[in-house]
Amino acid sequence: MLKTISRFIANYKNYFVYLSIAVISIVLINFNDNPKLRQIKVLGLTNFAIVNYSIDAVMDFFRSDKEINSLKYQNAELMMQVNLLRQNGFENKKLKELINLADTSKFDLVPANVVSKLITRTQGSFLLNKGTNDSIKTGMPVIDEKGLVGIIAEVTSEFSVCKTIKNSTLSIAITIQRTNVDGIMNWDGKELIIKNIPTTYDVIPGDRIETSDFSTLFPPSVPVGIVLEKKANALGLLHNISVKPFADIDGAENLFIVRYISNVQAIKLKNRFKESKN
Amino acid sequence: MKSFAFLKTVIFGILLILLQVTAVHFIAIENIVPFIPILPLVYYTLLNGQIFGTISGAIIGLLFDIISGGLFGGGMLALSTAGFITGYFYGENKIDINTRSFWFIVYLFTATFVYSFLYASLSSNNPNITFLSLIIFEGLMPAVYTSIIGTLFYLFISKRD
Repeated sequence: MLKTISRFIANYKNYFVYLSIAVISIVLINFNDNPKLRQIKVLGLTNFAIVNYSIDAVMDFFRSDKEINSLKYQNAELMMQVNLLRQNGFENKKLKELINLADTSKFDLVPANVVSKLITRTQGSFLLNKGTNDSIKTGMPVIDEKGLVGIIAEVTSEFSVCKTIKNSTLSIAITIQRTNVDGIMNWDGKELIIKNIPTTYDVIPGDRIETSDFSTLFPPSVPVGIVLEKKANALGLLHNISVKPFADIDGAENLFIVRYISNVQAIKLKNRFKESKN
Repeated sequence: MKSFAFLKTVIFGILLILLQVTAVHFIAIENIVPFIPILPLVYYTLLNGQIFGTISGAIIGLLFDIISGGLFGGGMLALSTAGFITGYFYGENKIDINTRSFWFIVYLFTATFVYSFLYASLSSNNPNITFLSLIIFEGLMPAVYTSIIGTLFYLFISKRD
């Protein structure tokens, strides 16, 4: 019996080896969010990020310029402020009164460089050279001088992984600035798309799109892109809107992490604070 | 001898993974990039067989997952499958034909297609992405691009001999 089994295994060892690896991989995939596995991931990421960073530093020698970086920083700050002003203008016109934007009028930007990129058509992510040492946390938005780039997905002490808006797993609550139409935008592998907007809503190509007040991940009024075109679906009652991002995602090198704690985290913090008081 | 080949495959794999994440995006065309860590995997699998390809594919894949910060286990499964399938083309008597002829590019194309398609399928959970787009943009296009790069690698190998 034992001989038969061992002969069987010997005959099909190729398949057994493959099957064992496949099972291990599937287990790893399933436990991707497990804290222990995340720890291993972060440990590996940190060690290799140093190597990546050294290679990137060599490449940086050929391309970067401190002055350009500082101008980009200034530009990003101005872009955020201009957008807020534009938003205020729209709301002024409609409501004839000012709203209180004191909490969001100042953004704390942390300049970061892209150390490495994982580009596939569905899974865009960057490795950035800023981590918990610079008070970077998971969930902080990442922008460039033109608009939204993505969100911090993993953080180590010195590095962080940014999931870009060209990542199919990221869905963003957005608003069309001119008409305040809300929607959910995500990447379908080819383009950024906002699905199922009723045809009765006033949306025209060229309309600016920004993050929504309802977003639990991003601060409101971060510029995202412009409406490229509207495509009616089969019944003609709803539109799919394709969006051209402001940010140069593919060519991104110098980015800014916005030190912003998302609403959900803020709510959790408030609750914890209340509990500790009681 | 085999363990030396195994070590060589993994070391070349690591070097090419580092190149993949730091420099390959400079030659991206419409977000389509070649996957160069698969080159040593295919080459050494055609020299050493299916089990060799499966195991070294798993190790290079796992290292890719760690270095890139992508889906943990996704690269491991996809690359070991690519190595496993490449192993079917292995033959002790056809090593020269496999590695020093046009067939090398064909095997490289097949392996990259399997890898890219599987990796994309595992890592994207967006229902808007159609199966056809996964096959064409995630499978075929990177496979074509990698094959072009592989042709240069093939020319280098054949010139060296």
